[in-house]
Amino acid sequence: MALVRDDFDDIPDSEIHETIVERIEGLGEMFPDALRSAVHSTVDWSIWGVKGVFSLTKSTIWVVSTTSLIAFLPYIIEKERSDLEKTQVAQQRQMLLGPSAAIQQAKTA
Amino acid sequence: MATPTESELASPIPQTNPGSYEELHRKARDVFPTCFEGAKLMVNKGLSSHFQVSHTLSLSAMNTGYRFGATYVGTNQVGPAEAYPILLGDTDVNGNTTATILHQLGIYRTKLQGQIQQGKLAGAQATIERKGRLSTLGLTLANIDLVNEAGILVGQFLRRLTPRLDVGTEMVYQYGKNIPGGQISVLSYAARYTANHFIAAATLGASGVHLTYYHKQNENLAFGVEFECNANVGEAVTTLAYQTELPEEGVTMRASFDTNWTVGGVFEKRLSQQLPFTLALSGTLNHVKAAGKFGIGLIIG
Repeated sequence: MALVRDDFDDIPDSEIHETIVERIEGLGEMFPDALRSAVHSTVDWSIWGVKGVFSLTKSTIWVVSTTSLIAFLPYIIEKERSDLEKTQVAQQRQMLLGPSAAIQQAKTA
Repeated sequence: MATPTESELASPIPQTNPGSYEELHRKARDVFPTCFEGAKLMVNKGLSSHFQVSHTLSLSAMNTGYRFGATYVGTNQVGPAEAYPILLGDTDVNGNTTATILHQLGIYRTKLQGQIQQGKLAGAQATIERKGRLSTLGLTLANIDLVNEAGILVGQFLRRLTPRLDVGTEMVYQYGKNIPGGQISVLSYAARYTANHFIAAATLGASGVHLTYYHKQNENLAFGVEFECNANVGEAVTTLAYQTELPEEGVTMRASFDTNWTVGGVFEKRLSQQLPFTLALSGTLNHVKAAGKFGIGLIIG
């Protein structure tokens, strides 16, 4: 292997300003090429996968929530209101029967 | 008006009659919401037991205006909720009018329809239907133009094979100068199966396939599925819908979802038990185009 001298070799180490990421990337060269490419593609595919899953989840949540807003929400509100009214009427009837009946009702319930 | 007795109410059309060919998909279609846009006010007023008028005000991007409708129901009572002749008219301030006459003579039912737009006769249609014990025969003439030799003829036949299975066929014949070859005809076949909790109907023809399924889950909940495939346009759409009711509150909710990513819902509520006010809220949303249309309506009467 021929010894190639490039500009970096002429610059004193103290004058080279490199970031931590650049240093780690440079140190990565101590691993064999096959391992490096394997790690590289794994990281690339993972990023792609996570991005895809995130965007799919985002759209799914949006579609499901807006759909239920239009298709189910009015009915659910009305159903809850109707049920609440029914329980209130039942409670009122209980009150009319007198406190003893209400206590008895509370005990049995 | 005296209430008619049982014998008077007996319709000349037998109970085993399969009904009209057009109404094959009716049950499933009724589950689907009829969405509207903008604001709508409808006032129905019965002037007498035979005459009723309606006023409709609508405000939306597509159509803004006022429509007036009138309905006359005759004195010839043929069923518990049916009386003939029926005259229907509907017009707006520009004179665009639709008029319909329905009449029943024995087992023959006739329907005449006319439409006037911008001062010209835009459409005319005449239908005669024979409703027998097990079959319905229908003949429709539409837009027959004797001068220019153009028009549409539709022949329909529907027969009940078993108490649950009906089969039918329809032939549409169109002739005119602007049609390639001068004439064209389309034949289609139909079948309907009626069970206790569901109705499945299918129409098959050269121009497409139309399948519907109606399912009654319980008294207040029904589902409808529709598959429509148009071979001429090359389109197929499946729609799923549900309808649910709260009878004691006077609430009806209908909603549909289809494969074009469109969601639609119509919510109707009777505002008071004693007063005839109904509030309707409508919403449609297309997820692909991200387009939503909303409507509010008040129906009085």
